[in-house]
Amino acid sequence: MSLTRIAKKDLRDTSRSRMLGVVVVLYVLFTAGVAYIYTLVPAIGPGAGELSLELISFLGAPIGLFVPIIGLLLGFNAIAGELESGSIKLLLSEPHTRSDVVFGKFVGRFVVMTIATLLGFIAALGIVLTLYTELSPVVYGEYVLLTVLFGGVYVSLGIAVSSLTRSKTKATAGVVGLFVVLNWGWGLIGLLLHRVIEGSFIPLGTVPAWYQFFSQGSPGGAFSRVSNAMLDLQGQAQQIAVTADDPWFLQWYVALAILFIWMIVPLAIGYLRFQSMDI
Amino acid sequence: MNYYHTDKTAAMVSIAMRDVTKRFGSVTALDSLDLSVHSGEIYGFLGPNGAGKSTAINVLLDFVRPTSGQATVLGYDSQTDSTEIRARTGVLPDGYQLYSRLTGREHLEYSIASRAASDDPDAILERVGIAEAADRRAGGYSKGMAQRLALGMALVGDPELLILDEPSTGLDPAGAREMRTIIEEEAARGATVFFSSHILGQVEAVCDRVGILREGSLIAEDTIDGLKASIDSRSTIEVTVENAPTEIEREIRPIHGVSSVELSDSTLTIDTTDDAKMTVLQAIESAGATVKNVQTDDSSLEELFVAYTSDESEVAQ
Repeated sequence: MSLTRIAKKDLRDTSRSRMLGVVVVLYVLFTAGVAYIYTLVPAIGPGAGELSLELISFLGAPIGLFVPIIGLLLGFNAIAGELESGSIKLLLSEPHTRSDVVFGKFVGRFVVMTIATLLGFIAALGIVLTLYTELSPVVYGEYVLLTVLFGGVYVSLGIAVSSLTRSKTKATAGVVGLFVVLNWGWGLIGLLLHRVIEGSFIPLGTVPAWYQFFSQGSPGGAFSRVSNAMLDLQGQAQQIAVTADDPWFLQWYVALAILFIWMIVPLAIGYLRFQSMDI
Repeated sequence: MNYYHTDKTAAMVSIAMRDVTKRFGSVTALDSLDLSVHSGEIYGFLGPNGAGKSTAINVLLDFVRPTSGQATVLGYDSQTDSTEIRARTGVLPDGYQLYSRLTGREHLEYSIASRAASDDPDAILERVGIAEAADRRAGGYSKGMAQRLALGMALVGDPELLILDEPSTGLDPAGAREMRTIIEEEAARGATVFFSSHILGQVEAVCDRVGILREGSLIAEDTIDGLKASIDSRSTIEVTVENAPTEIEREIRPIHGVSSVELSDSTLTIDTTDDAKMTVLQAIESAGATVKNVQTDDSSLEELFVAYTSDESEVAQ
C-alpha cells in the first residue's frame, strides 16, 4: 500500500535526524528526572495517594513542554522541506497520490513521536518501579494513550504549518510562533478576554463557564482537562474545578473531542493545500 | 479499464500534449504547446535553459497543473490518472535532491517497494556504476553519483516509458557516455525514452526525433537530418507595419510553416519557411495592416543550432 511505503521511508528518514535525537534524549532525561524527584518527596510521594496517579500529575510538566516541541519538530519539515530541496519530486516520481504523501508522512512521523513518548514513560516507570511496586496500570496506560494522542496533535499541527510555505525557514518560524501562541499566548488571550467581558484579569470568586471552556480549548488545556478527569474518575481527592453539575461542554469527553479536532483539522488543511500545489 | 486504450492511435503515441499553456503569475512558461512522442522512439526535447522543458515534464507527471490544455501519457490523462502514468514511467526529475539520511540502497528499496517490482537493488547500482556506494548515506554523494542513483531509481521495474530531465547534469564526459548507453539499452528492450537537454550534441547521438522548445512553444520537430535540411529553407522576416490590429499575431501564428511571431512597436518578427512567406504577407494585409517594409534574414534556425553547438563545445573542454 502506497501510504505504508511513504510512512516507512519517512520513519527511516526522520528517525535519523540528529536534532530530533537530541530533543528526545533531553525529554527522556527530563521525564526520568521528574520521576526520580517524585520518589524523593515523601509528602506527595507514595503514601499520600496511589503512586501512579500522583506521578501522572508530576509528569505533566515535561510532557506539556517536550511533546509539543518533538511533534512540531517532526512535522514542520514534512512538506516545506521537501519542496525546498526538491526531494518531493523523487518521492512523487513513484506511483503515489498526494494524499498518500500527506497521510503517509503523518503516520511515519506519528510512529516516531509515539516511540519517543513511550521511551519517556518507560524511563519514568523504570525509575519508580525500582523503588516502589505499587501501580495502577489502567490509569497509567490510559495516560500513555492520551499522551500519544497529544503527540499526534502536534505532529499534525507541524504538517499543517509545513504545507503553508515552500521555505524551511518560514516553516521553522511558523512552528515556533505556533508553539508560543498555543502554550503561552492562549492563556494570555484568555485573561484579556476575561478583562473585557468580566472586568478583571483573573476570575474573582466563581470561574465563568465560558472562560473555563476557552482555557481547555487549546491542545494543552484539553490534554490537562482529560488527564485531570482520569484522576477524578479514580476517586482521587484532586482539587478539580469542574464537577458533573457543570455544563456538558466542560466535561472531559468534550475536551477529548477537542483534542481529536486539533489532530484532524490541521491534517486536513495540510492535505488540501498539498493537493492543489504545483511542486 | 481506461477507455483511451481502446483508441488505436492513442496506443501508438506515448506522450501527447495538446495546446498546453502554463502560467506562473505573469510568466508564461508554456505557450500552447503541442507535442507528440511515438511509442518506442527516443525523443530529444531540446531547448535553452528557461525554455519551459522542465515545466512541460512536470505537467506530464502532474507535478504542476496546466492553466489550459490537456496532456496524455500512455493513453492516460495526466491529471486524473496520474498514478497510472507514474506506475508505468521511470522518472529522472530535474532540480531534485536525494534524502541525505538514507543510503543509496534504501532509495532503491523505496522505488522497488513503491512499484511492487522484483528488481535486485545491487544489480541496478552495479548498472549505474555506484555499487561501491550502496550503503553510504546519500548526503555524502557527489552530484554525479546522485544523478546515477536517480537514474537507477528511474530504471526500477522496467518501465514502458522513461522521462529523463537533463539526464547528463553533473556527469563527466565518460558518465554522459554511460548514460547514453543505458538510454539505448532501454530503447532496445522496447521502452520509449523522452529526455530533455540544452545541448544538441547529447541529443544528436541517440535520438530518433528531436523537438526544439523556445519560450514555451515547439519551434521545430523532426529527425536531426530533417532539421538540418530545413535550416536552408527557413528564414526570419522582419515586417514593418502600420495600423496593425492588436491581435495580429493570432492571425499569423496558425499559418502552416510559421513557428513564431512577435510584435514589438511596429515590427513583426516572423520565423517561417520560405514557401510560406507570401502567405504571411497576404495575411498581414488582410488583417487590415499596411506593410511598409520587409527584411529577410536567412539564418534563424542555423543561429539557434550554433548556439547549441557552442554549448556543447564548452562542455567538451
